[in-house]
Amino acid sequence: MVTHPGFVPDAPARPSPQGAPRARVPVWRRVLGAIAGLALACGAVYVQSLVLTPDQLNDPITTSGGMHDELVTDRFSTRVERLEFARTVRVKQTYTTDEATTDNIFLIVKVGATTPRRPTRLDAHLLTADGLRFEPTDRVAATASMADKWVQPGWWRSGFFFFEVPKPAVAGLRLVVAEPETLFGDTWVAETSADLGLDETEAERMVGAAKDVYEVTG
Amino acid sequence: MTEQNPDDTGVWRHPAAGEPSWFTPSKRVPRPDARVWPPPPPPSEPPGSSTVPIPVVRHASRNQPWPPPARPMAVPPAMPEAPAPRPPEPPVEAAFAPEPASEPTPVPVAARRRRRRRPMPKAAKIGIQFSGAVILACAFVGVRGYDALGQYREKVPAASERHVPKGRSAPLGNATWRLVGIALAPSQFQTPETPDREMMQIEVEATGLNADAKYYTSSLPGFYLSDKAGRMWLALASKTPEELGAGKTGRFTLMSAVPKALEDQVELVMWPSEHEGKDQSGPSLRFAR
Repeated sequence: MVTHPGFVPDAPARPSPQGAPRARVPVWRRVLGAIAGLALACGAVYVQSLVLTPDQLNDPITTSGGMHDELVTDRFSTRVERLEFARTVRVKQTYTTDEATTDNIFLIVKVGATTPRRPTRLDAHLLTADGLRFEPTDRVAATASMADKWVQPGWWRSGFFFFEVPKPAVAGLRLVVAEPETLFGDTWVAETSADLGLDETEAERMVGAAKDVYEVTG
Repeated sequence: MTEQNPDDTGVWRHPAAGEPSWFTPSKRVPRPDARVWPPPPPPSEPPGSSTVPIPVVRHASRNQPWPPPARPMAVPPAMPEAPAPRPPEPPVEAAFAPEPASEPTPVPVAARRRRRRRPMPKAAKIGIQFSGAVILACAFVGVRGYDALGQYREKVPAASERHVPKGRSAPLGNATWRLVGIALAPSQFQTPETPDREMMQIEVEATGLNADAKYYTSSLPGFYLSDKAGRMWLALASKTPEELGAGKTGRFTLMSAVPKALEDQVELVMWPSEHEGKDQSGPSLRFAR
């Protein structure tokens, strides 16, 4: 094939034979640079271990406190007013009376709540010291529960949450109150977490002093 | 009967020993050495082998392989009577001879200037890199936030409240709504155990705009009483119209508990559905008292 000289690329320019002499870097600076690079790489790897998992990113924003503390969030405020243990819960309705009994023990928490802006409903669950979660019992009629009542701005509304818990799990319980979960859960929902003040001795004393029958209307 | 090889499918057989095949490797014939680089000079052609002499374009810049188009002339030149005298033809040999290597290619002026520019101070370099990183990070966060906001707005449309003057009606959803009145509820509805609240009774009249208005009798719109600060109290229906439809008018009776101090300030706010009222998104009406 005949190639016109104009279309043949030029040969790459050769480096000049003498060339600029490379600047001499002292050994200690090289070592220091290597250590700094290693430290940066290790730091980058370590920071990756702090990245939150998707579950943790969806965690609610919790306000914590103890008994009788007013726990304020942007959407609602709660306070735990009273704590009772009972072996039977009797719900008096207009025409009937329902009785719920258990081999474990019923924990009845009286919670007061209010909201700053708009009406809402609240759900609650218990967290044990070792991370187990208890939902409110379904043995007690839902109409007697606080979950069935509207919390409105301007005044405090009190109501009961009924839980059925095994006696060994009572020590170290926490009550968590939040708005009901939607189907496609919102992120960063508000919740309040109240320590019920049940250490080992207090739990034993309160379970021992549990009422036979606790009567509520609902 | 010959013994058959179980692997033999009958499709392919080994070629005979003497038969040339693409499969059986054959000895390679070494090719003679040929000069590849620099490209060999074109073979010289004998003079007179080309019928059309091509003049050599000298001083052609490589950046401009194509000459700029000639301007169209306003008046076409008249045909000359006789062909113009030809310029002396360069020898054919010169047309294909490579350019003399000693002639250096001209370096563009800009490149020469760039090479001579002083190196940037280290502080300025680091500053530019840092500001670039900050700008990119801000842009990344901004784009993600804008996207998340767009998704949220798709799910929860922005609230738009329409103020309705006293006694007037306004359309919302499938009906036109008019506030008849807000008053204290009769004494049998008041709750003596909560003296800080007052029970209010609200009358709302609805006129259906189309047949779908009948659904308002079963799935109520979201009614709330609201004060100036934007706090909301539920207004639940105690009486709903029997039927509602295109052109038909029905009356809703609502009950709501509000703090005693606000009994003459609260206004009725409504959303076309309970769900939108809960989210407080989309269009709503606020009736003046």
